[in-house]
Amino acid sequence: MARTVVSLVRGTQGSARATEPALEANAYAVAEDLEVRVVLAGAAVELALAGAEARPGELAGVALPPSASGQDLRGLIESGVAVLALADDLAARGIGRELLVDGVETLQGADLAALLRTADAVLAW
Amino acid sequence: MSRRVAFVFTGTAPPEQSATALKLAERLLARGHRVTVFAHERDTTLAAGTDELARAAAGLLRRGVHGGTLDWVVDAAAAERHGVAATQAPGVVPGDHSDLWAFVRHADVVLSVGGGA
Repeated sequence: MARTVVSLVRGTQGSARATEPALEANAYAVAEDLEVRVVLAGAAVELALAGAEARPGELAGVALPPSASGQDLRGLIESGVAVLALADDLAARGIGRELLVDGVETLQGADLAALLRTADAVLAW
Repeated sequence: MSRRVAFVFTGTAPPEQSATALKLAERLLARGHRVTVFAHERDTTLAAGTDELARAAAGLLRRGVHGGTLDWVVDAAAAERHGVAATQAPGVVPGDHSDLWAFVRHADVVLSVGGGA
């Protein structure tokens, strides 16, 4: 039976990169016999916004890459990784479910506690 | 009974947390457990250079010469981005996130160091 892993993303790592580093790391999990659930909490719930996108730009002659965390999440979901966002943190930011990437589920705080308690491993980003 | 313990440094911990985790790793190694370390993003700097933590990490790795059981992998692309690819302590292995998940899969215990808020 596959080990269950909760990958708790609570913040973004703030680098000007095409892919959010924590999401990029989680994309590699599909190669292993693991059941990974990515939980977005705190400021990281904003990664689940379907319309969030940073366009390519330039700063002091340096090209800055575009990024779209929604696309990264779609890739994870299509690979079979469950992606959940904490309902309270979404509500605190005024983000409704209709704004989220298709396939992202919401999670109540009490359910997160149960998820963490029963997981074989927890990673925090 | 020897166990396998994976430390995942996710690039968000303050130095005190990292130091505490490395102290725990040292004790686990001393008791004969196998320790694997994966360093993500900013934590690729942990075992690079000459500051105290880097020297401590190098010290742990150096014990491997005498039969230690520590594997330390850094995300090579992140180490390159942070300018520390060439200054890693001897014994550090450049890798990628597939190493992270292999460590997690095979570990008896996984300890995640960091977690932004």
